[in-house]
Amino acid sequence: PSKRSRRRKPSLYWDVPPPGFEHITPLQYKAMQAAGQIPANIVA
Amino acid sequence: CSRIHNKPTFSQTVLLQNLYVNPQNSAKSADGSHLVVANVSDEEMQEHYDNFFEDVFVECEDKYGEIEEMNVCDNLGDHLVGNVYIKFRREEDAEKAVNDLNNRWFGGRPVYAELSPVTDFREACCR
Repeated sequence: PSKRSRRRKPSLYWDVPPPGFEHITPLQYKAMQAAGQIPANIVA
Repeated sequence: CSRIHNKPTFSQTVLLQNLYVNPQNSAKSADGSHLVVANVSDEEMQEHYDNFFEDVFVECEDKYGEIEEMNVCDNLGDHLVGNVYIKFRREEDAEKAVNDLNNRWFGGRPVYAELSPVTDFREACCR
């Protein structure tokens, strides 16, 4: 007996940046990972 | 698997790498990169997964276009774990989704999106 709504707001996941990286974009973040400036596998 | 996967220029299918983090898998991690979470029950797992699936599906369909099929990988191989495959009805929507998703966050991590050659998930097999 579970109710399903079309849209559950707000999203739990979308557009949630890693703590401390709110000021940069995901593209910049990935560039920093590629450059070894931050670890590649952190799970928030 | 050779890990040499084709990256098509046009495809209806989008791959979001390692998007789903299974709470049970992260609890099992031994490399110290994950906090050890005590006992995640199967019911909590299912609820977590359902929330995740709905969140991703609804967001992508609303933002990018009609979705034909969406699959989440439960394989533990490190290049497959948590991979999400979304097949859009239209190639243009898939392309738009990849471009936009690559500059979005999801659950505290950046999204890694690319086009995938998979169009029939029953035939998909990594050799």
